[in-house]
Amino acid sequence: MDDLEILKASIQQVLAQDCDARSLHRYVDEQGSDLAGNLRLQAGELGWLGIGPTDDAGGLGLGLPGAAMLARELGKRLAPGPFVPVLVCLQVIERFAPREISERLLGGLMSGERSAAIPASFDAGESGGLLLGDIEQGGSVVLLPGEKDLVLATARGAGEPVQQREAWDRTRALWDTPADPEVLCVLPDGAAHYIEMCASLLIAADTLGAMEGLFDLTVDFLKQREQFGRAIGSFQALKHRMADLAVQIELADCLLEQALEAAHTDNEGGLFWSGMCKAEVSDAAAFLAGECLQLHGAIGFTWEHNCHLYLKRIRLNQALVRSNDALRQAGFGALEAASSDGRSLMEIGQ
Amino acid sequence: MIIDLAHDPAAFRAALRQWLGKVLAPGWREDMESKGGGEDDYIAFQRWWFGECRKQGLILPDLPAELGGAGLSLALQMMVVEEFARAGVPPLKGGMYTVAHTHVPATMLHAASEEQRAAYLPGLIEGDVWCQGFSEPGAGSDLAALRTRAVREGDHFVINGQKLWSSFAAQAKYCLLLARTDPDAPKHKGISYMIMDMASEGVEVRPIKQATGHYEFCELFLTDVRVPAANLIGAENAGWATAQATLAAERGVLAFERVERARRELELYLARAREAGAPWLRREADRAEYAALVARLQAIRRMVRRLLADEGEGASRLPAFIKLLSTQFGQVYSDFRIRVAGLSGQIDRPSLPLSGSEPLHDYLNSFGDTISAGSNEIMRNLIAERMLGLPR
Ligand SMILES: Cc1cc2nc3c(=O)[nH]c(=O)nc-3n(C[C@H](O)[C@H](O)[C@H](O)COP(=O)(O)OP(=O)(O)OC[C@H]3O[C@@H](n4cnc5c(N)ncnc54)[C@H](O)[C@@H]3O)c2cc1C
Repeated sequence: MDDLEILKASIQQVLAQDCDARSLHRYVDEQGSDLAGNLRLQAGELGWLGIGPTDDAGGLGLGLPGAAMLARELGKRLAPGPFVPVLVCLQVIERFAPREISERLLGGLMSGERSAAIPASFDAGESGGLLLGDIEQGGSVVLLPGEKDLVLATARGAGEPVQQREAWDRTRALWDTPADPEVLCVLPDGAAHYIEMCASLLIAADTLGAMEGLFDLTVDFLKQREQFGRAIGSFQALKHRMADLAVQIELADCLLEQALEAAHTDNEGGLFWSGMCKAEVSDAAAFLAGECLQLHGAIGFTWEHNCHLYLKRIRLNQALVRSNDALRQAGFGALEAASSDGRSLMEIGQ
Repeated sequence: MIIDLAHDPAAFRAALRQWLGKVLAPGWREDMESKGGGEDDYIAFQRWWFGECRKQGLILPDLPAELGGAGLSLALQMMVVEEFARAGVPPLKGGMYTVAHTHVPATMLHAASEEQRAAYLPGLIEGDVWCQGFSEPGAGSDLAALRTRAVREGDHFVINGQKLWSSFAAQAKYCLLLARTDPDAPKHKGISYMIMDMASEGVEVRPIKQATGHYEFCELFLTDVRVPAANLIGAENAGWATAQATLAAERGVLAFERVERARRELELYLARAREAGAPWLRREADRAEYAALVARLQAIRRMVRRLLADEGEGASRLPAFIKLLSTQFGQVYSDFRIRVAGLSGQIDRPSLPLSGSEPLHDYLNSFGDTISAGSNEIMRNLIAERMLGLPR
């Protein structure tokens, strides 16, 4: 087993214990649980949040593939909290921020003490300035659209508290843009593409995890629930739907692998493949979520069940970064440009 | 011969590419189509193409050296497929040579005797065409329900029955035949596997016209056909396991070939559309659909590579996924092209029974892939029961 696999096994073990259905529902129902805060601190303590940054920065040096693995496991367990924004900010700060700023911010982000927020959408006019993540007065790192480029800022302590918008998905939070942020630096050219690429990749990974979590739940249910004197999983109409979903999950996994490899090797392909990956995976996931709810019958329609939590998480993911149509339009533009230059975006390295 | 360069992959690729660049004139497909592309022309063309590949030592490159092949590594086999796809020439093991070059070696390696290998493998390199006589009117997905009888009489079997959908049987010299030798045993246990000479007395072949207008698969009527007992592959009544080995040969490199060809066709489709200024390039829905097709195909290509790299767990899980996905892809991609083509795609033109021609032809042909080699519904049963563990 390589490092990534060992770490994955331990993440799975911890989450199975600490992010079980009961804790999750207590959190979602706001019964005085701070599951999100606790998980974030624990993720910091166990070194998970430092999975991406290099040794020099105090991380594990597993880069985006590491961050994607973590996001996938968190999605599988519906872990609440600003994990994707924190992971994106870590990548971005390490790569683009001046040294004194990264020294100031990386430690707190990796330890789980600082939260983070990033634009919920990069589509012009679409986001209405909404941010995804957690904004705590004072310490949070926020990526904000500036005049031309993105800026890195922290939310200020004084003044009006930033407004949170309750989302259907209660495992993540959306926020208005802080009125009076402390701007730390303007990020250089090229950072915007990189941020979007990271966000697409990690949202796709979270979505794939959610697909797996919900699918496994549904397979178990189909084996247990009996009607007409037999397990409903023996009905062929349901088997075929499940087989198709299993195929979609494998396909999503391959597409994520493609996007991670492209992110690693080149810039143009990185943006193209991360965008296509987010679009295809989140649309497939939205379909899967509907299928799985239907196959549960009425129990899947209840608040107590996890089906709706998965469905809402997946639907929020589908809307994040950019609309899937915008991603495909941009994707086609890249294909057209490559084609007219006699290049291909479909090469696979050996 | 190009095959002599196999020890040096870079030189091998360069030589392949150079040869492929000149062996078939770029407009060969259009030429054949404009000539009418009749059945006989197409058969003659396949024989000619086989001969050209043979001159380069490329026939059965994967067969181990001790059996007369070149023992090409998997990586080099993949290279050959890639280069053929890139050049847009017909596949190395396609059309009427599919069974001879894919199913026969797999079957022989699995169960045939030394004598049988020595007797039949050299003929493959000479260009013998084989067919597969598995399906029957009453035995399709439920192959083990087959009823063609083989009765032992001394050193011969006497065969009576009917086979259906046997591709290129009209051109075939031999047939991989499944017949029932023990009608009293449970259905999987009374089947034997044998080689039938198509020139034997009592073999009648009737080609069947397919939805594309071409004649590829045939009906076989077998009346008191005498097959020597020496032609039995494996033990009597143990044919079912060998039949599984034959069917398994359709995975792996064949799937690789399908998706690599699809990739070239997909990219060429865009390049041609750009050159022609095709109106769909300005339609948002079509642009989005094309981009999604690229993403889907790329994911399938990765899945095939995973299968080829994995001898372990993936080798049992992935073939059914890949069968479903790659055959479905052929269907959704040709469906896209039919819609884009509008009325012009509805005008009947002669087309070769090779993929990459008219959209409606490719679309119809794609059902051959979704129906045969274990229909996609059978694949779904398999995934649900064997992989997900859903109860029968
Ligand atoms: C182009 C082409 C070439 C072929 N070449 C050859 C050849 O060379 N040699 C040869 O032996 N055969 C050949 N075949 C036959 C092929 O193997 C059969 O068509 C295949 O096994 C399906 O059998 P069937 O056509 O009788 O369909 P059926 O088995 O009758 O199936 C009809 C429909 O019912 C579905 N179905 C059947 N059983 C189930 C089930 N248990 N659960 C859910 N759905 C089910 C099928 O998926 C299909 O949709 C060829 C077929 C085609 C189309």
